[in-house]
Amino acid sequence: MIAFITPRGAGDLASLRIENTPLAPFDPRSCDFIVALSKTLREEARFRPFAEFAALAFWMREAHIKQLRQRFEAQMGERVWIGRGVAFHIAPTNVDTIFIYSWFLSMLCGNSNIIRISPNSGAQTTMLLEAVSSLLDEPRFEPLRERIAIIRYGHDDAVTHTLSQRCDVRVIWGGDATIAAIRAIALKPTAVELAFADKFSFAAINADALLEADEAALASLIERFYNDAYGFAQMACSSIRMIVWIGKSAQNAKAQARFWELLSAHVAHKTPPMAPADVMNKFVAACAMAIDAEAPSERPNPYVSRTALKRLSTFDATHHCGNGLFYEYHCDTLETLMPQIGKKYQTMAYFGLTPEYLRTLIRSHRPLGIDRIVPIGQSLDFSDVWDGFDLLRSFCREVEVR
Amino acid sequence: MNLDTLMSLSPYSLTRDQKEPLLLEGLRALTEHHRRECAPYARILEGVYGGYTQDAASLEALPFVPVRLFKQFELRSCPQEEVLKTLSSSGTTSQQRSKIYLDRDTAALQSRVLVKIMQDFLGKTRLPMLIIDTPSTIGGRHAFSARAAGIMGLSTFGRDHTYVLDDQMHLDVDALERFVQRHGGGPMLIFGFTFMVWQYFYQPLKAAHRHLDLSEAILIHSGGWKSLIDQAVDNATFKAALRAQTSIGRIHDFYGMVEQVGSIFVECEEGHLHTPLFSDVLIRDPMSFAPLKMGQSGLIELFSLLPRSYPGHVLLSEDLGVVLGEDDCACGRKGKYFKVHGRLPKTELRGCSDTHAQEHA
Repeated sequence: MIAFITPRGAGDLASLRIENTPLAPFDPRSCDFIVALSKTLREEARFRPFAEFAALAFWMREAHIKQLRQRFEAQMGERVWIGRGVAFHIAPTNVDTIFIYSWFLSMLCGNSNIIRISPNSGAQTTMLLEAVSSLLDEPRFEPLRERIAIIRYGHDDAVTHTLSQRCDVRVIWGGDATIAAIRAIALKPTAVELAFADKFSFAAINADALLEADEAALASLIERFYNDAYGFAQMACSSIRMIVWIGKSAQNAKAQARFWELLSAHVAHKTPPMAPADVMNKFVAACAMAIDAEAPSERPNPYVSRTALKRLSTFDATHHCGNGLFYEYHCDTLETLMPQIGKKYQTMAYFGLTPEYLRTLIRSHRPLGIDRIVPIGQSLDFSDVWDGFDLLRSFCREVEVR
Repeated sequence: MNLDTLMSLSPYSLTRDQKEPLLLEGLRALTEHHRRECAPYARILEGVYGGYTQDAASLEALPFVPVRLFKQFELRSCPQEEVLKTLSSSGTTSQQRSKIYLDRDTAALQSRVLVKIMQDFLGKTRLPMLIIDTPSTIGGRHAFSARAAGIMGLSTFGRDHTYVLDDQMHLDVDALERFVQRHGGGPMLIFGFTFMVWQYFYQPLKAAHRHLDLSEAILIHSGGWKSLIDQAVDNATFKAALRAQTSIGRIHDFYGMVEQVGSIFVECEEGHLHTPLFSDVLIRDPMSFAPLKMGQSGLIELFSLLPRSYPGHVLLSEDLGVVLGEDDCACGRKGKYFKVHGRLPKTELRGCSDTHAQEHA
């Protein structure tokens, strides 16, 4: 089964027309479309209950698009960057807004875009697609219509193959299993690929800084940590799943006691959406981590489970089920952690450290992983630099002119 | 009192005051036995129960293990070479199956307990036995599936074992008629999985307008209600429909799981599942795991004195149920009696890395 959300009325792949010649980067029509969708998300009441839409609308606001443009042009300077042609985005099933970010950054580079949506995608995806379709019906966006194809289909390798042969850049969201399946399908020789693998994120908390923080600063930390850890049921790549406590062990112990008391109370008060099956999953994970990693666990309440790791190498996703499960690890300094950081680490969210220190840390230790370092509270914010790719730059090709 | 002494008693003869101290003593000893013999179990006590040094003062204080763990780990409390047979869950919907290791002693206990419990319902005479299944279920690679284990376990209570389904699950009406002619009018045992009894026995008879007189028969069935509830068939509907078509006199559901040998809970004449004196149940709050009172619904925790070769003596299941009473069922059996509501609903997968996993699940 294959269904065309847009262009409306498209019948089959063979007759699907997609313009190959890119628009100019930051063509006003592309920018206007993004800003118009931002307006829809902010103004229509049905979108308001969803935090993901608010974040998306904020990212798409006119001022931010201008910022992106200024930075893009400043970096480009005299060089020539133009769109690659056609981008094919394979969106994840359950993070409903990712395909929009991926598509819009590519559109801002001037590319035409084909987006594969899973038949199992959620209600929020459907709401977004409806908004997109009705905007495209407006006459002012007529020129964009032959540059956008949103196609809903299941695991149909023949369809993916056809689209892979038509695109100039293929973007795979959805993790390791999806990447393995899609990479088996040949891409046009001149095309490039961006693949977003399964990754895991953690928080680094300076114990001394936490112990010195006043009540207001702590309350703010707890609130921001809660948003980072409990959004997307703690299952996004950038969700905080582990806390690394940095400091002397006595200080770490004191900081932990203080942090968990506050967080447990906050979470119990917030009662995040959590089903009994999620609690069972965490119990199974605690047993599994006891067996595999000899890691002790405790459970202050149904919403919070803590597991203390003896070795950092046991921090992986095998048993991590999200929904309020936290691994914890200790080190005297972040420097000692760096040699143990593997490719699967994505975001490090920090408290009580400075960007200057962190830049120097990465430059001098060059860990294999960690793609983003942000203050706690910004883990789930989408950025145009993701998993080590500057997306705007990656969606363009550079033409050398001497 | 040791297990042998317990075995000599009638399975539903002890009241709470008599039963709980015996169970508690046995389960505490089993906890220490598994701590010594099963390293992964010892690690769970260490990691999840803070070393578990107290002596449990009640069943609810005993450390419990999630039943799903038997799908992820090999949990054994006897040397591999002493494993007599390995049971596995049917696993039709999940990719992973439980692996349950039985040594000679545990397997023997399992058979003895099954006999004690079933004789309470079937009497001591072997009855002609009709099996609503295909003979190939107990052969070949399915030999240690839960379905095969159920059939083989119950077969010891029957004679003239007659399978009435072929490999395509078609009812062999001729075989059925010959069986009824041979034993017509007399007592007989009918066994099958709940869904199969409904789909492949009752439905074809109804479609063919065939009425049988099996008023002296006892139907024992098991396997859960999920697929029947989806068709809006509950226990009462099931019984009424079967009686209308076949006049079957007695119909007993039973609940149990391959992960806990000895826990066989048979439905009595009042429609209640009963705990025999080798095992017990406790209901826990699905969010906090706190023990609940009689009449409150929650997760079913199961206790059994039998599992010695693997650490399955105290299990937290993913089934929901409610304890209805203790020692006072109108059928006269002592012990707790309860009802099973069904499985804990699964939650939706979320996250970035799900495009493939979910669509292939």
